Amino acid sequence: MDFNLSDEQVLLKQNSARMLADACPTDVVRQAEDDGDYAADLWRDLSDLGWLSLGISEDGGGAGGTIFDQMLLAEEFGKVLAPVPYVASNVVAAAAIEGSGNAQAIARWLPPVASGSRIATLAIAESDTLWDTDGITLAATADGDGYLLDGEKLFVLDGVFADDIVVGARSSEGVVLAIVSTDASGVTVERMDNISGDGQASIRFERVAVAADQVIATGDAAEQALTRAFDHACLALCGSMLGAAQVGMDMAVEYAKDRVQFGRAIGGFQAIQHKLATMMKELESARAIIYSTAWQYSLGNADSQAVSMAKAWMNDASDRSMWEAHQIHAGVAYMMEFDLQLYTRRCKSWEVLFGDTRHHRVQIGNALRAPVRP
Amino acid sequence: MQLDFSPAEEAWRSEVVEFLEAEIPGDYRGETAYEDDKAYEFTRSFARKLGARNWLSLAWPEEYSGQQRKSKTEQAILMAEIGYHRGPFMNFQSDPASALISYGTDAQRDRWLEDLRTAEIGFCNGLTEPEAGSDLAALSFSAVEEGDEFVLNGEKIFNTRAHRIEYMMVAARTTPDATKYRGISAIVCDLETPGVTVVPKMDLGGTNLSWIYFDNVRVPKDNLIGTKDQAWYEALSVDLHSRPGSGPYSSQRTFDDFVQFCNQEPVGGRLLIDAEETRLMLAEFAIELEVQRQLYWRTIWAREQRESGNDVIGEKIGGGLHQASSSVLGLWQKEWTPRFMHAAYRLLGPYGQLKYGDRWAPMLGEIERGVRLSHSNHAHGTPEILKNVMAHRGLDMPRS
Repeated sequence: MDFNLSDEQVLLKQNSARMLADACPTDVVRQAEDDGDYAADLWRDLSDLGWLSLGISEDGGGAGGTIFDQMLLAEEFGKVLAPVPYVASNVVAAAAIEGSGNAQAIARWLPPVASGSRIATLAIAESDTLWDTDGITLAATADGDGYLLDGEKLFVLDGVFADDIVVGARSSEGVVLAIVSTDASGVTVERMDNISGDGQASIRFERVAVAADQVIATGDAAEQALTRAFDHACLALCGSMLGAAQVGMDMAVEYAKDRVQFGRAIGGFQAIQHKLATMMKELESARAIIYSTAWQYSLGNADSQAVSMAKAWMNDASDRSMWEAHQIHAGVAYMMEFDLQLYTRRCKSWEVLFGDTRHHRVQIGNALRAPVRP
Repeated sequence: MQLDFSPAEEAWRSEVVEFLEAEIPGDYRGETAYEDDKAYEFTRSFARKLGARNWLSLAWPEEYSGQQRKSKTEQAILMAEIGYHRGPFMNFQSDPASALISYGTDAQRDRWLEDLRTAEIGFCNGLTEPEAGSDLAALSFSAVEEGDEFVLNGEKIFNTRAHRIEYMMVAARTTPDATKYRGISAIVCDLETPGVTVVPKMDLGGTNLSWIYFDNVRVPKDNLIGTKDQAWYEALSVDLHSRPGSGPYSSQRTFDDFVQFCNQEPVGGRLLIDAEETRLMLAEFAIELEVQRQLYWRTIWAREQRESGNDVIGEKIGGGLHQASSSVLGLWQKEWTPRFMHAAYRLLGPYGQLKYGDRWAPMLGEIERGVRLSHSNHAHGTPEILKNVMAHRGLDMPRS
């Protein structure tokens, strides 16, 4: 076995960490949230550095690489809460397009995503269904060579900033995966005001015309593309949460060493030490399962079940660690001027996107309905 | 990264599994592994068979073990599979043998190592005393030099093996006035020596723990392992961490058995697996086992790297893996097993309380026994002690 990253991966982490420390201090995060926008300057810089093309195939105008590399980058973005639509566009939407296996669609729609010149996102959840393909009801009615789309999608990641929407719909023949521009006639994008202050949106489709060349997959191919997109979404969000929660813990460690009460640093009290030790256990565990799962997944050795395990654990580890970070900081971190809340609010959102803990436990639990090893 | 076993490691795993499947009966549950004589003979003969294959000495230097040294990963594969197959693994030799190898004299090694390697004799550690539990250095057991001998007086308690095996490596205070960590020596004592009284007492897990009383027990000075007064830094420092444990693999076996039970045996007229409550509970624990499995191999690999002189650099593995990583794994086991056993017990209703041998007992009483055994999670440090270690060594928190 060898748990070392490759030299290129180490460099990617080092270089991105260095660049982001300069380019994305928390006032950039606060400013983007206040403006209701993403950090366009940062996005351009990331594009110039070529990082947005990582994990996208050369056929799609990308630099090659895998979801593992994307997860590493998402972790660095998570550490600074980079307010950019990276996960929505370059990970999730790209995985859906790439996963369709449709060469024409890949050549047409992916290069602008890989370069960052257009922002794409995946629209999947609806009021009656969340993160699975079976429940999709948004209607795709046959119309000439294409379809008319009617319905509403919810929790569309960075939908407010998106130029293109990869949307899952249902025709009489099964699932249809299509790409629609947000400026197309009949598309209405509305911000979903949420705890993280990000660009999540609900998107209404009213008789939205989709031409044949906007349909990137149907039936099994569409379901496979969506499954791949869900898995990649979970792994990237795991990276983001791991990075953010680790910063939350690091802040708590420093605070425990510095804050003096009753004549001593509070880190000298066992009640505080035990909280920190538990956080360390949960986050080291998270890193172990996320890195292994993303790596094995990138080699085709892990499936959606393995991804569910990683996401379920990361959800809980992030939730509990961030909570304890607040308990250790107490009053000071309750104030909006203190940065910890920026991390907490985003982690709370990532925790429930693309499957909360219960959702993923249901997948695992259902798969245990068969005898294990004899 | 390369996270799979090599072909050679896979072949080794297959060899181990083949051996274990042949040697351990399917209905073996180890309830009385050290207790009734017949069960104990099985435990001991299993150890001899491991010894005959040199499998008890995988970590030893080649000059003593007579074989090419196995890697930490290979050692861990053996331990993991013994755990998964419920082997009656009695740690006859590991820690004292490491102390002998590192700090013993040639004469001492000639005398004991070969018999330890083949499990003809067994050594236990004599550490815990009434006033020295988690705070081991508070021990007061005394060893006084008289001519060519040490005279031992005191009491060692909570010993898992003393009522069955031949020797104890006793931690004794040889210089009473020295500071806390100095003045302690490691001395081997044959437990048949006059003045030694071994009193076994039954514990909640169904095995005996021994209280051992030493009343003017005379042992040759030749039995001192390492430097007098320096045992804390020598024999006692060849830590309990140098040898891989079985990680989450014996937990995994109990879990797998329970999943199979939920799928196959009705309780109160229905299969437990049909209830979503059960599936969610199983999922929670399945996820945590996978987390532990990944952490286990990562930790084993890191130890192997350090042993081979390669630094494990946080940056190269994405961060993490503190000095205190083995405490993280230890904490997992101390917390996971009680939580799982009690959760499984609750799902079984009144059947959960039935013991091995009762014709209605689910899973040959494995959960009933597991609940009892799970109370032993204080051994080698309570969860709270491990958290202290993690906070001090891993996070540099000030000491209380």
